[in-house]
Amino acid sequence: MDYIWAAVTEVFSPVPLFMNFLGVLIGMVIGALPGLGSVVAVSICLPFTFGMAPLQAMALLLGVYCGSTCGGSIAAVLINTPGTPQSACTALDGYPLAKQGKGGIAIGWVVAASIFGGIFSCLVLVLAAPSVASFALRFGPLETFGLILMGFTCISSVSGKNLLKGLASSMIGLLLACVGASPFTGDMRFTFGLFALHSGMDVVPVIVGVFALSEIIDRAERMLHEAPIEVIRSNIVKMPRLREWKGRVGGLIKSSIIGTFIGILPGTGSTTAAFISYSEARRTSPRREAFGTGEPDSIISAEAANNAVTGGALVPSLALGIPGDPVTAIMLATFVLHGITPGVRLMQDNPTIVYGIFIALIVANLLMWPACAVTTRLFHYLLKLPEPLLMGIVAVLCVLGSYGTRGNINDVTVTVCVGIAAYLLRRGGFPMPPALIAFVLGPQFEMSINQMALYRGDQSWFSYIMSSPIALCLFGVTTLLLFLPHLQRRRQKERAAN
Amino acid sequence: MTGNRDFISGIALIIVSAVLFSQTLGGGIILFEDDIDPMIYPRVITVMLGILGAVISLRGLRRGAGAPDMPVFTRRTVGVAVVLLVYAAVFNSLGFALSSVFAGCSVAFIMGWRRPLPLAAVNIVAVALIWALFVKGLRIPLPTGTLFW
Repeated sequence: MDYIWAAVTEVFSPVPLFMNFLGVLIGMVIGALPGLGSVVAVSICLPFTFGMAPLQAMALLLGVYCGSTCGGSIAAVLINTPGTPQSACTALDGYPLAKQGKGGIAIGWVVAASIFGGIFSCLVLVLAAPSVASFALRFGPLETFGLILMGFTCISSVSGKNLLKGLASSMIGLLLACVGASPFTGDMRFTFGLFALHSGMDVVPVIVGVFALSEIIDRAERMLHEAPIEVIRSNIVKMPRLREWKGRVGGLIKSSIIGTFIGILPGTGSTTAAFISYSEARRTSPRREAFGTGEPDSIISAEAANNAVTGGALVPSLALGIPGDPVTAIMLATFVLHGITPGVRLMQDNPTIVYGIFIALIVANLLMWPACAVTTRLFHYLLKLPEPLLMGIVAVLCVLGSYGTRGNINDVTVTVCVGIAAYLLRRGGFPMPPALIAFVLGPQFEMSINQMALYRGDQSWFSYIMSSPIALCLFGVTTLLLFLPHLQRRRQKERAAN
Repeated sequence: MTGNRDFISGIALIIVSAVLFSQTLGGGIILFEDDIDPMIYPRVITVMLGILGAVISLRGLRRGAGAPDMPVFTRRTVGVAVVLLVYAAVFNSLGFALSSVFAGCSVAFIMGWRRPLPLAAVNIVAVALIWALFVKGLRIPLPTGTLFW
């Protein structure tokens, strides 16, 4: 209880509270701009957290995370172009509702469903994370290796359409993490004689390059192939009245459960949650015939689910040190930057910070309402900003953010080179989230392999692995994940043949 | 194009993994009997990457060309990439202010914004605000340039 009270006191003190609100505002603005998204929003803000205390930094980034999803949905409603991929389903009924002159009402449904979904998943996080964390204390090097391997396979199999490319992307991330001195012997690896690479690649330049800079290069051409945007004006947010929730509460809770559960699974994210929840609502809603014409049930299903992912994704991240999606990977990297070691002992060693994160996430969700009221009036002008001007300024911010990490010009070079390489990989169909997550987890993965080799002693590998039921379960799930896409394809082919 | 793209990316992965594999052949320093060669782990990963590259390229060959996709190398994408490389190269020597105004204007120009005066004005104001945020707000010193000193 002392830790919880200390966390409450700290989160509600002026600076972290301000950071949380600022994060929500920034997230809404960046999330609303098509082409950027939650990961870019968090990547851009990450360098600004260096001078902050850990909880202030997390409050800012959590605010950005929550705000960006909501902001993306507002763009979906006002311009029929989701600012973030997870807001795509919201456009299907949000935009038609806005075209009927009910833009404020549509945004009200977005905000209300998002707040409920986010807080629901926070409560699950508060209840589930400590239990999972206490179980995680039984993890040794073998179990950690199995867990990370399962995480890589899960992320590779669900990110993008191609398991092989997802695995290749993970390998690339692991190799990037090898650059520099070996953690055990200090031997230099993959430096190609360059002194600049002796200290390895810092995580911030890689994150900024992989997500933000590669997106800018991609947008340079992609914007030519997209239709011009028509912006619908909407000045105020009108929250739905209590009577309008009649017959909709069940759908709201079901969507929140779907989002939370999908968030807990490593590798799945808000986009998957939003689409699954929308499909389920389309199948079961009593008003499903009205979907596509401005039906609030559609907006509720997508928004509750995509925001419920935020709390769910933090369960494996905080309890096990395995990021559930790129944004939580960046948050774990933030811990490292502030001298906190993520992993199975995080809750044990830093309870105040972990409980502070729970509370900051709840507060961030609640702050979406006033933040939306402030930003909605701006969105009309913001969404009309010429994209080329915006991209130029974002490019400067990205490079500066990576420079600000260590004040080292080599980080700028790393960011640009990684950004160009990431653009080529994206165009080759390689998903980027597995690469980033593998890069963040790479050192821990290598450490667990080396520790396994030492702990094994005179035992054979077979008897060593067989001695851990937890590790055996994890290896079993990994094998299943590797072969599941192949089995599903075979079943689909058989169905088509029949 | 999907098949061609897979074939080319698979070959690229094989080449990259071969280059990286050659870097692991130097061998690490092993001082004690229980020490683990630090090159074994990256060596295994490069081999796995090479195998994955081979499978991806074979699949690309089998699939053949599909529907045409947006080209990878266009004037815009290459232009933006070159601007970013030049930006990184001159960031220290020209200093933050000059190099950032150059980069911001160039990226926007390449992406299609063709009004020079508003372009320059917006970028100068934005760079000034960013400078103030970093230097005065966050107290992170930014390079002032070595070329003119």
